[in-house]
Order: sequence, then structure tokens, then C-alpha cells
Amino acid sequence: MNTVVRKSLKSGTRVLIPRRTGSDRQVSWRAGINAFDRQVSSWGAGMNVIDRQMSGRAGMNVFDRQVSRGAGLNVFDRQVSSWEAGMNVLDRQVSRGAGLNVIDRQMSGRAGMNVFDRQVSRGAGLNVIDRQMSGRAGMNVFDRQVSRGAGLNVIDRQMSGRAGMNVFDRQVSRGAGLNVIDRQMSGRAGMNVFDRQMKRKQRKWAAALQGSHNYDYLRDEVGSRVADRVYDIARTFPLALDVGCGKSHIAQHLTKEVVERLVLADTSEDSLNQRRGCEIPTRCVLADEEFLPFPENTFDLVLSSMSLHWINDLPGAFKQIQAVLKPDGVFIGAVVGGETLYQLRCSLQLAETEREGGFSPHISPYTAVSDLGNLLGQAGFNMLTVDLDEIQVDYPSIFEVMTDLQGMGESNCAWNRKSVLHRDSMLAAAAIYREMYGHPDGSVPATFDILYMIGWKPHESQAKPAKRGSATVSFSDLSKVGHTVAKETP
Amino acid sequence: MSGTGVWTRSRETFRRFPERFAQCPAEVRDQVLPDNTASAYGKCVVATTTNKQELKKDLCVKEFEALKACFLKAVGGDAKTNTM
Repeated sequence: MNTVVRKSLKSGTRVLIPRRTGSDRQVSWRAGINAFDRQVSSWGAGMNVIDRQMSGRAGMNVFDRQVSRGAGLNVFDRQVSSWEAGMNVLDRQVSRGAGLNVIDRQMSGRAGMNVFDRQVSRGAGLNVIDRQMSGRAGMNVFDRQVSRGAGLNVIDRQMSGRAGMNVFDRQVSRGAGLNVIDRQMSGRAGMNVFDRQMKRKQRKWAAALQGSHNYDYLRDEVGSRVADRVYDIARTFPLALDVGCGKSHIAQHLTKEVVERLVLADTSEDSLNQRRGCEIPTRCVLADEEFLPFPENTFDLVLSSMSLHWINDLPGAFKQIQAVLKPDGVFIGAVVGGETLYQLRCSLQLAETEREGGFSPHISPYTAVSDLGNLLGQAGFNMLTVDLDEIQVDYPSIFEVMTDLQGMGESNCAWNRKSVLHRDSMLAAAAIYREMYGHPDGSVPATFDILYMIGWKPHESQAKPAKRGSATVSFSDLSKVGHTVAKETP
Repeated sequence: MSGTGVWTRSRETFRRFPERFAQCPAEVRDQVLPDNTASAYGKCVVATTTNKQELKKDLCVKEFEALKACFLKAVGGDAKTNTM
């Protein structure tokens, strides 16, 4: 570096000011050459920096505010380039080491793109994405902490269902090949269907709507039917839990004689704040249905109404519910399933096929009745009861159906959903819906199949199948039922 | 990318869809109205579910164009500028 000596006006002391090499704020003139802003980047070959601007070319790198050292480091400030492998982003911190790719807040779906925010990422092969996920293998995310060591993949709060993707939050992961999961499970392949973050946002949005009580009709109806089933059981439950309660639609129908104390658990704080009044003393907990923060054998009764159909790992959730129940405790749940909204699904399918040449799923997948029984049995529940209730609601047109579903917080959040529904397809679907399913007066029905399930945690007092050979009456005696038997008087 | 207000504007437009759609009537009871564009398009598509014909892109494009023209006319929008 050249130094310039300048006399200070006041004291006459010598001041050495280093002069930067390269132009300030200007992009350099040849390919593979560098521009920088505010900081010197002058070490190492192959360092390219652009302030806030992105280049789609390979080997062009951006950083802002910090020096990037080491070869092969590519950094972008807030902008993503995703079409070249080896493009990396970093914001605010130095990225050291070769092969580090960081993108601030934006995601690239390409392999080899990595993101981090705020912290230095050291070591080779570290991929970090701040808050956003990439479904591709080799993409890793972390937030806030340094990730050291090679081969570390970390995702902040978001999960990828793909093999090799790992999650952690807040902690440094050291050592090579460490995969840590915080809060979210990447347990089984294919068990990540829904974007839970998105579902939280949708519920929050729906609860914040001006007339959100207008969309509660379905939940209130289902809640009252679940409460009916609670009354059917002639018991008093000292402690009950409502999983995914929303605005607490079940508790408003229950009395203190049936349930003495109630815990309401939901992921949406705004819904809990707007909960209905009930005479039972309640406590609210902000908890995800898949990660119940309660100890085992706590509750006598667990309720759930219209929230389990957005859970990724339903077998796991059922197991957790079974665990938090006391022996001889009961789980009463209502879940949307079967052929719900088949009219909407078919209309959209046909419309998109005719208008766009193909279709993508807009309705989330549901559990079938038979599957539910199997799932409950696998989770360890006894004496299962599963029944199906069909609720049909009439709407003026498909647009009202979609608006109401959105207002209920039931927007689709599956990962495979298409983010766009074209107006032409909507118009076509409206016409098809009316033609296929419309009533004579022009209104259209929407069907909600609600599956009600009751399962008991095993206990000695529960009836068990009789032992073999303990029969006292023969089956052939059944044919004699109804015949008058002539008595022989001695 | 989208500017500010696009989301609110598009939601406003969407809110008016049902009334505009209602102006393009389908068959009401047994009356066959002269302008039953929605019904014509609907029937064309539904027919493919019963007969052997496969539903392909733009199979019922004529009926759809008629429906769309009626829909746009409902608010005085111009079909050419495609202001839905």
C-alpha cells in the first residue's frame, strides 16, 4: 500500500494515511476483477466484490462493509445470484476460508449456495441460509452463530425433508459432519408436507382480520359436536388439554362439572388472545402440536378440533398425545379428512387443465377414515371410535368459498403448493363449479368431511378381549333366540 | 418486483369478482337465458368427464373467451386491455 504523508495543520505531526488499492465504489474493469466499497479487499486472488449489485457471472462476488479474505469467497449484500454455482453472499461479517457461500436472507435453489447472516462462517464447505430454506441437498442454514468445521449444515427453524439437511438454532456446531436439529424434526423422509412457519403466519393473519369472527362458523359447529362427545362420557376430568385450540371453540360449550381445569395450546398468540369466554379456569400455552411441552401422564382428557390436518408427522403427534395422557385418559379429536372440499379440488383441477394445460394441487392432502384408525392404534390408543360427519355449506360462488377458507386460516401451506392462481383459471373454475355442483338457485355447496375420533390410553380397568375357551354360550344358541320354548311340566 | 399497494389493489379487485361473475348468468331453473356464457363453458368442460374425450388445453377456448368477454363487460373493462 502506498502511504501518503500529510502534515497536520495543528500540531505538525506526521500522519500516515494508507491509500487503498483499487477504485473506491467503482467496479473494476476487467472480468474477475474486483470492486469494493469502504473496505479494502486486496488479499488473495479471485476476490470480486460489488456493492449491492449483483452479477450473474461465475466468480463475481459482492460484499458490503467487511473485508473478505481468502480465495474463492463470494459475497453479496442482500441480493442473490442464483444461477451460477459458487456465488456466495455475506452481510456484515467476514467470511474466511475457501468455498464459503453466504446469502443474506435470500435463497438460492442451486447446489453450493450457502447463506449466513451476522456471523462469521469459518471453515470450508459451510453452507448457511438465514431463515430460508432450500430444498436441495447440500444447502444448509444457520442463524446467529458461527458454524465451524467442515460439512456442517444448519437450518434456522426451517426444515428440509431431504436427506443430509440438518437444522440447528443458536448454537455453534463444531466438528465435521455434525447435523443437529432444533425444534424441527427431520425424522423421516417424506414427513415434511406442510410449511409450519407459513401456517403460523396464515393463522396470525386470519386472527388479525377485521371480521374474523365471521369465519368461525365451521369451527364453532365442530367444537360443539366435540363437546357433545365429551358429555357422552360420564366422567369428570380434573385436567384437560385443548391442542390447536384456535379461539377455544370447544371450551365455550363445556361446564365446570365436566372439566375442572383446562390448558389451551395453540401456535397463534393472536387467536389465544381472542379466545371465547368459558366458565372453566384456563391457562394458555403457546405450543406447537408436534412438540407438546408437557410431561407424561399429565392430562385426563385431550381435545383437538380442526387443527391436526396441518401436522407433518401425524403418527408422532398422536404418540405425544398418548404420552401426555394419564392411563385411562381419553383423547377426543375432530380432524378434517376424507373428501373435504372435493368440489373445489375438482373444479380447480379441470379449470387449470383446460386453461393452462396442467394442474397443481391447491387443496392440502387429507387423512382417510381407515388410515386414522390405524394411526391411533399404532400410537397406542385402545377402544377406538372413529366416525364421519359431513357438513355441507352453501356459498354464492367459488370466490366466497376461497375467501372464507382464507379467513378461517385454512389457506394451503403445503410445500408443493403453487403460489399463483391465475384469474382465468379462477373464472373457469367458477363456471365449472357452478355447472357441476351448483344448486338450482345458483349457489354452490362445499363439503367438509369431519372425522371424529375417540381413543383411550390403556389401563387395567378397561375391557379386554375374553380369553379363549371362556365362552359359556354357544353360537348355535343364537338361532334359538325368538323361538318360544315349550316347557314340559313334570 | 411488485410495488407497494399491489396486494391491496389485487384483493380489492378480487372482492368484486363474485358480483361480476353473477352478471354472466348460468341457467337459472329451466330458463335458458340468451347469455348463459358460464353455463356453456361449464357444460363444455364437464362433457369431457363423461365422454371419452380427454381434457386438453384450450379445448373450450371459444366458450371461455365468450365468458371472459362477458365478465370484463360487467364492469365496463375493455377486453383488449385485459383489465380484470
